[in-house]
Parts: sequence; structure tokens; C-alpha cells
Amino acid sequence: MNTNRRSLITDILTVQLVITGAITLIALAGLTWTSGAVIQNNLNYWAEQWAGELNELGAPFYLQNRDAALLDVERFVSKYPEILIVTWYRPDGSVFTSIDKNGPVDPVASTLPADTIEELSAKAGRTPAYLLRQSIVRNRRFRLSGPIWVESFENDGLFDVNSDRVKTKVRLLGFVAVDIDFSTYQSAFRRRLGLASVALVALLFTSGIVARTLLKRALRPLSELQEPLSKIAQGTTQVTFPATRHEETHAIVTALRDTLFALQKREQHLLHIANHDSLTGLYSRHRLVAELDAEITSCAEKGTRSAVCFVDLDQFKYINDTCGHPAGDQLLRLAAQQLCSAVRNDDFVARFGGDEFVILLRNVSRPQAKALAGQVLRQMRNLSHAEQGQVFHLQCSIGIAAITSSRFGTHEIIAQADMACQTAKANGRNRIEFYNVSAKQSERMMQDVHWMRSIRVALEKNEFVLHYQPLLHIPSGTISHYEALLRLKTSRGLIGPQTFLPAVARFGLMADIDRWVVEHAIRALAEFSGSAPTLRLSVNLSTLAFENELFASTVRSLLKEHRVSGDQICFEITEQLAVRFAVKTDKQIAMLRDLGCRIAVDDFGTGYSSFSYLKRLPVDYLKIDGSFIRQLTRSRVDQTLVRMIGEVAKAAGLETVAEYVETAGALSLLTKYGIDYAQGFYIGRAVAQPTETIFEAQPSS
Amino acid sequence: MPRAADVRPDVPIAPQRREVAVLFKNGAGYTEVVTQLRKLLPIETFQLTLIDVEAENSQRLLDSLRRRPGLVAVAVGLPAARIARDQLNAPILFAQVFNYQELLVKGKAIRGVMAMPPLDLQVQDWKKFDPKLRRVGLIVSERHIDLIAQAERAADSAAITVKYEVSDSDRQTLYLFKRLAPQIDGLWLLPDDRILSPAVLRELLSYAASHGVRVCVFSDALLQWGALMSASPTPEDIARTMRRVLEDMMADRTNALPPLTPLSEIVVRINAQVAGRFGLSFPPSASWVVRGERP
Repeated sequence: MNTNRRSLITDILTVQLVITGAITLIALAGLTWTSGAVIQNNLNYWAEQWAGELNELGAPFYLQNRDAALLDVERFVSKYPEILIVTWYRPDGSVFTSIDKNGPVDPVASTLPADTIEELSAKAGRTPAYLLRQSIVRNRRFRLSGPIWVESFENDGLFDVNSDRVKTKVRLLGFVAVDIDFSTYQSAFRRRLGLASVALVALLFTSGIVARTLLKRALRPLSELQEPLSKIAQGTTQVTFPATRHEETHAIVTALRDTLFALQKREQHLLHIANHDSLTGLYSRHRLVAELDAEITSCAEKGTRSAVCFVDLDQFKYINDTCGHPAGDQLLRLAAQQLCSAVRNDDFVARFGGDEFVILLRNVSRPQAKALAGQVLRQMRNLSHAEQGQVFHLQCSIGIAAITSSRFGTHEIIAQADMACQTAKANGRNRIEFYNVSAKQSERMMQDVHWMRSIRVALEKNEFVLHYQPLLHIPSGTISHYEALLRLKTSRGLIGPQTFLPAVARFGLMADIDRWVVEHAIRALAEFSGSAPTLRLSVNLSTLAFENELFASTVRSLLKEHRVSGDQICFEITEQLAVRFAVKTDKQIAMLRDLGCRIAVDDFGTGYSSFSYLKRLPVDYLKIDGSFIRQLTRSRVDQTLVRMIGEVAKAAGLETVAEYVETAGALSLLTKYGIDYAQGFYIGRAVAQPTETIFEAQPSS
Repeated sequence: MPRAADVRPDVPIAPQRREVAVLFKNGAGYTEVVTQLRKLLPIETFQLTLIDVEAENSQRLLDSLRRRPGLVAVAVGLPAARIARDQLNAPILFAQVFNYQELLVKGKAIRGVMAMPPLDLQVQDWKKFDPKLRRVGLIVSERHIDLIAQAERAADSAAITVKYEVSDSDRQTLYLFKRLAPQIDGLWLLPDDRILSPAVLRELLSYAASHGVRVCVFSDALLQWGALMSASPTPEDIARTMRRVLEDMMADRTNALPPLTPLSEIVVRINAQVAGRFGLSFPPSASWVVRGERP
């Protein structure tokens, strides 16, 4: 688990903190601005109130007893700490006198400037009759100044006091200026604002702690889901969910339970698919290996004996070829039922592949094993199957290998039973043979086992490589695409698949090889996309490729993961697989074609070839088997066959590929027959990296 | 409203008709007096020449009257009185002049009618309306210092004490009033134009209202500025008194007349809103009310 992941609660709280912090900052800014504006307006208001006192302060000018008036002003000033100094000016602007709260002071103020005198003089007898100027220290100091004048009615104007025409006489006496300092009030305001801010931040901090606690409590039901979810992630499906109280968590838990139930069903299904053969319902080869591993261990520990029977149906190929694959499949299902009914309940029956079955007989001696095998043989003999008006009697050959210790592993035991079965077939079929070690058989078995182990290691250590053989598009003369060919890296150099594929098939590793090849081919397309963006590759698939129901889904995931277009890849399947028409196979081919992938039938003409198949084959290309091409220039029969295949394929809307093209003459004939593509040493050998795009004809060797 | 243009057409002058020139200034305090005076001076007896001293033709009329023998000039308002004094060589009777001192020039027969109603009537009516009135402030200029004694006498009869101050200017008036305010119940504001200005009047009345000082003023116009009551003469009383004095002057009894002849009537008007604020009972429906006139 990544412990560096952030907590949801922390994230929510962070968002909350950021929002609350922003709001707090805005609130503080607003508070400061508003308070500042309010205090400014207040101070202006008070300054204007002071203007009303100018008349009082001007008393020394209009009272006869100036000393008494000054004393009066002095007393007045002493009551107001915000008044710094009061200065009186004569009408010409010269200083008359100044006082502060301690009494008269030496005049420190200079003469009023002429423009101020003019401005103030103009205000005499008018409203408002003062000037308010802020000093250097903003919002703190003011200088309030105004004219002092006397005014009287003219011509008995009191009779007409309300009239606009009433005239008055104004006489300027001088000017008075009051310096006011409100810094004390402002400092007090700032102190309180500071306290309010601290309180606000403390409130925020406290609310954060409380919010965290409440949030944790609220999200606890979600946190409690962490453990069961972790178990599910680890693959455990037996999980208990906590009781839910809330609507939302109840919905989540219900959804999780449903998901878990679906997962359990899917797991069971996958397990069933992995353990069972889809055609017969018997156990699969994969499950057989696990059972044998356990049985070998058990026999070694308990000192008991068991046996493995390798059953191969005789003449199955004949039935398959003559009656078709559906009939063959039906016969396999019947054979499986017979096998199961012939053995004991504890015994284990698996389909090994094709018409081969393996039976694990537990706790049996050699005679018991032979007796049970004999019973199988009899049951199979009793089986008759009517198909297309013919009645078939099925027979089988059985090879038995004993499990007596852990000396031989699972694959060796199976190989032993297989060889014994081959012996039974060689000795006339429809019989039972025990495995007897001969030098030749032992050597062959050891070789197969060696290859099997080497291939397992190679798969684990990624010791396979792909080489690419070009295909020539005959009409255009360009290299249209390449076929990816598997090579095994060994100390002796690269080894082709023909050497190790028999062992791969015998030990059930074909699906692994298929997966490796497909994955690496798609990866190669991604890697070459820079240098060859239009590169296309053909990839060979084994007959067992589509046994994996998820094959097409896997291809889709790989294409998506490596950002490769589906039309860049072509899958070559065997003729046997192409004509099989099993529902699952058709479905997978259809899915692959939906992805844009193309399908080619490899080695066409050697297996169950029938031109009638061509009408319904869900494929894009036919690869004519090399046996028709090798002697093309010399064999009229081959020439005729190739020409016919080409014509029929064209009529069916398929393109044709000729492999094993080794001479210019062969290429010339193929061109003449309208074959679309050519592949072979004459076109180009397999190389580590596909680079060529133009084909250059060479002299034939 | 009489205008200079209303000069009556010439009629045969009967020997007994006496010529009177009525000078006036066009204004609310003057024209009503002229109207009342005209009623009391019938054309059979008096030949009237009405002159609005601010009208364009006033100077022409004055020039025509300047040397007219037997002419008596009647001036309503100070500007008219000044013009009569300066331009007419005739005995002068003035009215509606508060600051009359400058008019009393030696060697000229100039008499006047008081512009204010009798002080004793003012005080008595105020006291009736405001029985708790005990101390009254009075601020006058040097020129009207004689009013102090008259006011004290009048107030004394109503058991009211007068606290007075002498002022030189409107500012000083306000200054003195603010210091006087805590010591008085009411302010008796006399029409002393030398120590009053519109701004000071407004501030003074506002200050008084906010400091519980009731103000009695000389003009109805000041009621709406916040005064409690106004005490003013009636135009009819002024006209009657003028007619009486005029007859004495025409009968060569000028020397027996005092410089100012007092009036005998008063009209008091109350600002009901201010009265209500001071707890003085009065019909609340009217903003101001003519309370009563005395013959």
C-alpha cells in the first residue's frame, strides 16, 4: 500500500481551510477598509464639528476683553486632547497669537500664504466657512481654518428677515486655525482591530479542529470500508462489510456486495474454464497437471501407488474427416461420458488435447490399474455412434504409467503414459500397454522434457525473439508486410520453432507461446511506429489459441495499451482451426476482425481443404502451402492447383499468399496466376528488423 | 398694494387739504402700514403722494415735492426715512424704523412711531403663555442701551428678572448668549440689527431650542426658525398712531411730541411645535396661532 497517499479528510479540511482563510482575509480586509472608512468619515465629521467651534475660538477677535477671551479658549482647548494648537491670524495673514493646551506659545506658525488668505477671505459670510486639510500623517492630523468676521443687517433689514433681498454687511476680523490630531483614537482602533483579528484566527483554528473531528466521525463509515476493499483487492472474496447507518454508505456497501457477488461468480466461472475442457466438460490439462503434482507428492509421502492412463481414440481422425468436425466433437463428448462411467468416483478424468484423454487412477496396484483400464477399453468398445447413416464403434489405445514415488515429475509421468499409448497403437490398437523403459523411448522422453523446461525458462527470462520475413505484394512490387517468426536464443544460436514446437504442444505450452508472440508482435509494431508507421505484421497462432476465450479481449487490450491499430496485424491460423466453425472460434475471429485485424489461413491445401469452405471462411487471405510452390516451375499439377486456388480464392473475395517462393521463375508464374503475395527466400529472408519496402529482384540461386 | 404709479390724479385743491408725501420701501413690513395709513387719510382732507423709494420714478417725484410749502413727509422704513431726511425740506414722520437714532438730526422736525409694541404688553403676554418664565436674557447694542431700563421695568411688573448683556457684533451676541443660556429661561430678542445677522439668528435660535431657552422675537418670520413666540405691532395701530402724530405735527405741535410715540396694540403669534416641545399647552393642530390682539 502506498502510504504516501493523501488523506481525503486532510484534503477536505485543506479546501475548507483555504476557503475559510480566504473568507477570513476578505473579512479582515473588509473590516479594516470599512472601519478605516468609517473612522475616516467619523474624523471628518468631528473635524466639521470643530468647525462649528471656530466662532468660539475666534472670540479674541470680536470680544473687547481679549485676555479673558484667550483664557476662555485656553480652558476650552485643555478639555480636548486632540487639539494640538490654535493659531490666530490677522487679516493680512500675520500671526496674532497661538495657544496650546498649556497656554500661549511662541508663534511657530508662519504667515498664512496669500492664496490661503484669499480663499479663507472669500468664505467670510458664506457656508461652509472653513477649510479642512489633512496633514502629512494620513487620517490622523487635520488643520481646520476659517475666517472670523462680524456681520449685521443693513437698513433695518430685520423687517424683512426672510427675504432674499435682505442685505448684510460683513467685516473680516482675522483667521483662526486649529490643528487637530486624532492619532490616539486611531491607535486605539488599531489595537482593537488587532485583537479582533487574533480572535478571528483563533476561531478559525478552533473551527478547523472541530471540523476535522466531526468530519472524521462523519467519514468513518467510508474509512471502515477500507479494510474489506483492501481484502477484495488482494483477491479475497470472502469479505464482511461493516453495518451501515447512512443512506450513501449503504448504497456503496450494497454496490460493493453486488460487485463482490459478481466477482465470485466470475471467479468461479473462470476457475471452471481454467479447470475444465469446454467441449467435453472433463477436467482440463491445466487441472490435470495440478492433480498429478499433488498425487505424486501424496504417493511419495504415504508410500501408496497410483497410475496414469493415456487414452487415445483409435480412428477418430477418420470419423472427423469423413463426418466433419461437429460429428467429431459429438464423438469426443460421448467418449468422455464413457470414460467417466468406466472409472471410480475418486478417479480423475481429463481431456489432454484432440482425441487424447488422461485418467488418474488413485491408490491402485499394477493389476488394479490394468483392470480398470480394461474396463475403460470395454466401455469404449460398447460405444456405438450413428452419424450420417453410418454406425461407428469407437475403440481406444491405453498406455499406463505407474506413480510409485516422486522420482518422476508430472510431465515425465504423462510422457511415459503417452509413450506406452504409442506402443499400444503400434502394437495393433485397441489394447493396453504399460510403460516399459527402452533406451530410445527414454531418450525421446528426456529430450521432450528438456525442451519443455528450456521453453519454460525462456518464457520466464524472455529468451525468445521475433524475426521478420517480408511478403511481396506482387502487383505493386512492394513489400507489403512481414511475417513475425519465433526464434529461441540459445548458446548455440537462434533455433527455429520446428525444433521445439512438438515438445511445446506435448506439454501444453502452446497457449503461452501464442500469448508471447502476439504481445511482442504488437509491442514491435509500437516500437517501429516511428521508423515504419505503416508496418503490418502477420502472426502465427496455434490450434489451441482460441481455446482461451479471452484471447480476442487480450488482443484488444494490448492494441489499446501500445496504441497500435488493429489493421496493422494479421493472424495466421491453421486450416484445421479455420474450418472448425466452432461457435467460440467464430466469435473470437469476429471480434478480432471487428478490431480491424485480418485473418489468414496458413498452409492451405494440405489439411481438410475443400473449395466449398472458401465460400464461408471468415478470413481475408489464403496462404497456399509451400509444398505446391517448391516444385512449381517443374510440376504442371502444382501449377494447375495453384492457378485454381488463386482463381477460386479471388472469386470468393480472398487474397492469396504463396510461401516458399525461392526462384524468379516461381514468382513469374505466381504473377501470371494472379497470386497477390509472395513470401520466401527469393523475396527475402527473415531479419531482426523490418526495413525494406521495395522488392529488388535477384538472380535465382 | 400702493405703488408710485398710483398717485392720484390732480383734483382741485381745496384750501383745507393738506399735502402729505408717503415714502415707503416695498416690503412685507411696510406696505401693509401704508395701506392702513391711506385708509385713515381721506382725500377730502389729505393730498397724498405715494413714493416707492426703489421705483424708477421716485427721484422725479421727490424733485417735484422738494420745495413744496406745507408738505409733511411720512416715511415707512429706514431707507424711506433717510431719503425723506436728505431730500425733502419738510417735517418728517417715520414709522417701522428700529434704529432711528441717526434720523434725529438737530434742527429738523422729525418724529417717529415706535416699531415695537409696548414692552410691558410683550412681557405680560409672554408670562401668561409661559407662567414658569422667571429669568429673561436681553442682549442689546450700545445704541439701544436705554431699552434695558424700559425692559427691566416692564419685566418687573410681571415678576421677571432681566439679565442683560451689551454686544458689539453678531458674533459677540452669539458668544454672550451661549454663556447666558444656562442662567435664563427665555431670551427677549429685540430688533437690534447692528448686533444680529441672518447666520447668527439661525444659530442662536437653534442653540436656544437645544438648550431649553424660549425665545420671544420681534418678527413672525423668525417663528419658523425656531422661536417660541413673536410679539409685533398691528399695522392698524401703527397707522392710527401715525395719523395722530401727523395731525399734531400739522397743527404745529411738533415740539410737544416725544421723538418716538409708543404704540398701544400687540399681536402675539405662537409656534405650536416649539410650544409643545417646551410643554406649553396650546392647540397642536396649528403650527402657529394668532393668540390675541389688544385694542
